[in-house]
Amino acid sequence: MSEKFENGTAPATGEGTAPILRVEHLKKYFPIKRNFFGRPVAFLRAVDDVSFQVEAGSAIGIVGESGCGKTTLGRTILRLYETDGGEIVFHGDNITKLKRKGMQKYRTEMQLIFQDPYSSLSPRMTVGAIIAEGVRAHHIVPREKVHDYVLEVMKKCGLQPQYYDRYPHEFSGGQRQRICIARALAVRPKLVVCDEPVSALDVSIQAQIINLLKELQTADGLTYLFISHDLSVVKYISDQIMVMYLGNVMELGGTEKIFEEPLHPYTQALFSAVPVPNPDVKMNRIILEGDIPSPANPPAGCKFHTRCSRCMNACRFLQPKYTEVGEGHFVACHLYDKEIAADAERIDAEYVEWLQGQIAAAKKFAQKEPHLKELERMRPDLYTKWLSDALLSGKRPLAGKKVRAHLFEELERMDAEEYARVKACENPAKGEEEDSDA
Amino acid sequence: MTEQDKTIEELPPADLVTGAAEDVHAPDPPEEEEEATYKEMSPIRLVLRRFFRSKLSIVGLVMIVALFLFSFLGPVIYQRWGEETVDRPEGGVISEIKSTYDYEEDGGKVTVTEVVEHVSTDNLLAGPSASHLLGTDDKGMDVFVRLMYGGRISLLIGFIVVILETLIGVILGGLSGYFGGWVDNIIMRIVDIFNCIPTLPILLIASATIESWELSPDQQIYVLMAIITLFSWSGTARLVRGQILSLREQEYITATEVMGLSVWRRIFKHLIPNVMPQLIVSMTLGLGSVILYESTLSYLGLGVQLPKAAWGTMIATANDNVVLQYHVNMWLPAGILIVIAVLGFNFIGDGLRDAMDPKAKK
Amino acid sequence: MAKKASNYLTLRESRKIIRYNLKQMKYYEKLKRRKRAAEEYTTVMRDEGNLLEIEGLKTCFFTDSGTVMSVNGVTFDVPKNKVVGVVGESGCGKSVTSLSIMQLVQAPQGQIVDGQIRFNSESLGRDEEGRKLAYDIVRMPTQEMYSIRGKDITMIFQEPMTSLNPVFTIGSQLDEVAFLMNPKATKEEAKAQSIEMLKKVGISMPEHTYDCYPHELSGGMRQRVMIAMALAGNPKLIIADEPTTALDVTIQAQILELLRELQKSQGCSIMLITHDLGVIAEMADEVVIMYAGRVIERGTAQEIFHSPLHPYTVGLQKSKPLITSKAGEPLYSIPGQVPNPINLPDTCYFRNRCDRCVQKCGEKYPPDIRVTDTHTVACWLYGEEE
Repeated sequence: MSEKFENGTAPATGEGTAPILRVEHLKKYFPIKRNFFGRPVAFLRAVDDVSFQVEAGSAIGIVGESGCGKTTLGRTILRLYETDGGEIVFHGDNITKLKRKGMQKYRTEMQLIFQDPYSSLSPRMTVGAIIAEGVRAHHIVPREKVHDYVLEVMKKCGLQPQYYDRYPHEFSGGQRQRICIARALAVRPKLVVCDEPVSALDVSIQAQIINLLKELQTADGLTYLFISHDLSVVKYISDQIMVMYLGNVMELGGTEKIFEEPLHPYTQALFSAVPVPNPDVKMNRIILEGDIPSPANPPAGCKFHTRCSRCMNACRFLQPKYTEVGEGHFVACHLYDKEIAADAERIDAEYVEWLQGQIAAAKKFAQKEPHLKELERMRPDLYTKWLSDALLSGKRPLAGKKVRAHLFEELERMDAEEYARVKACENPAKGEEEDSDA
Repeated sequence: MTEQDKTIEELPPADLVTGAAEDVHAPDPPEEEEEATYKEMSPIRLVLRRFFRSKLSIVGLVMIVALFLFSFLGPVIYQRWGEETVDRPEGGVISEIKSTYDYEEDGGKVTVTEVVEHVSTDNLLAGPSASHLLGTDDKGMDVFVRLMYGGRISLLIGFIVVILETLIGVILGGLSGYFGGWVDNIIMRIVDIFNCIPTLPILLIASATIESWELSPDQQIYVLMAIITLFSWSGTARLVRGQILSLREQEYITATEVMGLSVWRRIFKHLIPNVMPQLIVSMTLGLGSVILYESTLSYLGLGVQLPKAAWGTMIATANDNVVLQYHVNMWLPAGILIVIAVLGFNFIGDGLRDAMDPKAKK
Repeated sequence: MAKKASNYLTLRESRKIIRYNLKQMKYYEKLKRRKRAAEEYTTVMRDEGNLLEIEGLKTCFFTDSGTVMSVNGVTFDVPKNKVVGVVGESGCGKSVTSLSIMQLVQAPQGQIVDGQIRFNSESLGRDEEGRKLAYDIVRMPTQEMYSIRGKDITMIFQEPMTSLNPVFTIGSQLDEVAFLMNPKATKEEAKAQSIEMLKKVGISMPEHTYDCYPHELSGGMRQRVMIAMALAGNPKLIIADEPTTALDVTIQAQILELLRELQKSQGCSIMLITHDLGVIAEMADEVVIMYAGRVIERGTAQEIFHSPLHPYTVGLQKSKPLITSKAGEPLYSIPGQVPNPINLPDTCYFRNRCDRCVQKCGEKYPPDIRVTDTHTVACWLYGEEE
């Protein structure tokens, strides 16, 4: 039995007790483009440099929206995927590079509860068989005792004994999730990764399952890695919270602390976006502009800067450092980086330089859209200037009728004056076609 | 119930019937249930019900059952003629025409050979009669009884071949689909090779080789089964591999990985049972095609050899113009039975596929 | 395997159910095909200020396990220019209610068997006594329904990916809608209108989006496209069936903001179906709470949230962990489960899970008891028969 912690007071850095799970600079990349020889040239950085620790008996909640990599993180920790960098230390053992055989003995100690209770149970096995399978495979109890043990586990999870012979499709979502929990618990794990276990359930059933999870945690001393997008559920069950966005950790800290005083702009926006069931509360909403960028093509610099209301120059091209701002409270944001604040002028100069480089690159690859978008995102005013320059110069890549018309539309939308100017000059310039520019 | 018996015109206009649902009740749920679970049909009953809803499936089932009874019970009941019994009336050869010729020439006697003519009175090429329900063939064997025995062989070969090829296909397809990578590559290339082989020339070569071995008729049938299996397993392997590729991504398979189950357990206890519905359908349809295949081989003389009965060999007699025209009873019934067998299995296979498809609308 | 599971239907029972189902389905299908005169499906509105009045709606499905009354006597109104939130868990019948309004219930298994849905259409005038005429959607023939569906009443679905055809560009799908509204439009006019629609829903690069395929857009943008399609015909009523459930929290905030603006600017009503109380609190003016096919509480948003009456409503609100609440004690959870919808007895459906159940709850289903002018509840705790 390990110690139990009150919510919000668990120290993130272990002092005295070694953490049961320690993840350092974990990376998981998926290749999305390969060259002719099969070598990957472009990656989707699903998990990009994630570090955290969890104490035994506590729970860490991992929140983020779609594309942030939380599911991939959970599965990588369980070694369902191979890592591309970093370390996973479980119970003092480095399990990052273990092969199948080496992982066998850790399998009973790390389990996973899935999001979709409908597809995570084999449709052709009875409930009893599903739960007993792991028990038998790992010889948790001697053979004669398996049946009784399974019934015991079922009872603990709120399933009646007559369900032993029934098939999963006869049950509702909440009951199926209980079967999943029973299956995971039957092998006596120490760490349970809960991958959005209640998202697919109704509200009243959610409460039942959350209560069950909390009970089991206290009774068996389990450690939870609770992945969810539902902030209220995560707040209820976790001691620490980690906020992820496009594979990076934005903020990490104790639950109470983070909810009282969210530092990162994304965390603030996330918390304010949750609708409160009180019609009188007119939330002072921070509505984020734009959509979540695709994880395959993230913005340069701080990945959140395109939607951030407090974006500075530094954010556009420098990766923020993951610094500790309080006890166990980490933030990755330039706003809290004292060095950036001190060195503003040099940063600005660097930024202008970098921007020029990007514009030059964009001009070279003008026909490829991602760079156009990039430019537009970075500095719309400079983009307008470049656009009018490009249209006037009659560069060949822009000579296609459709593309030209499209760019003219864009220019009109962005800056009517500039558009008028270019339109006036356009007709005489149409005839000339200059081959290269810059 | 009376309101529904009236025609629509008799009812008051724009009136929707209420309370009709109260007439017939599904049985009350048991009193003591705390957790409500749904009373519904067992999965097998559901499949059977959907199967029997289609008339064509029932027709197919009847056809196949009839064929089975005909082939396997028939000879037990109709004991009059055996499979290879030649209808030879008592006494054997009857007439002998001897002609001797003594010829005297100057010098001495010259003996001229005797010409002995044996006219067999075997009942050859007889028409349908009371004793021979479909007549006899050119060797004097009863056609009707040979149909029954031929059915035995066809059906037996069909089932054994299908079971064998499914076994091989499942194992190879399962390994290929599950492991991917080079295992998948190798197995699939072997499948490709088998698909590209021109079957007929190979069969001709094989049959010539087999003839030279001079095996007994029974052994020849085994070899025939082996050959047909060899050419059929690739289709099943492909099918199983495709199913497994899609099933592999399901979450319950990930769950088995998290649970640390062995690879064999994962493939054979989790993946393969979920491929079963597709597999059963493909097996049933495969039965029809194996029977056709076997009959084709027998027709070409490559399969079951005379004097053992087989539908294919019986049809082969139609090569002779005389038989084709005047002795229809010898070859047509075999052809009809083949059609019945193949159609029957196809109907059943189609019916099963529709019945097992969970997304099919009722 | 131990004994055979005893919850399977016997052959005799299932045959009986099947025979009964066939008969019912045949009857209702025949009824649908009958020609009706205009008087049969025109009626009068009870209150002119309402856009839609649902009264006693009963929709059932004839399944192999029995007759499921998905909607079992639902009554509520959708006033003009208001947002009505319909809350309930899965299986409570809220989606089927919305499908019944659009006459999109899956036939022949699903049939509307009783009730009235009165739609206050602009095209109808008044009768001799000055009362406003309305269409009765339950009795309207399918042909007539085409003039309402898609034009006056439109729907936004939950899963934008599966509601958009993946092999056509967004532009062509929007053009389709534009052509529906205006059959004589030229291609350029239709394109201009589509781009106008995209701008209205806040898509930043409409011309670019016009040429994209659905899989190239994110979930939030697809939902915006769906909203654009729904708004194309200037509808009076938009039925939004869980429009933000599949979206992320920040995108949900954007979409809800968008819906609110559009509702004000277009002057239409929205019927918002969801299970998220937070969304309801933010968007809805009136709230309808459904359970097991019946409306158990109805009222303004203020009333429902500040003074919930029905134990189920109370339980729902208590069991949602709030982002502002303190953690520590176990969450309040409503024990038990939603009852089996087949052949529910005539008692209160919530009886087995209610902590304030009285004896009368087991005798008869409680009627709608009017607590205030706008607040109605179906619970014996608040009064006797009307």
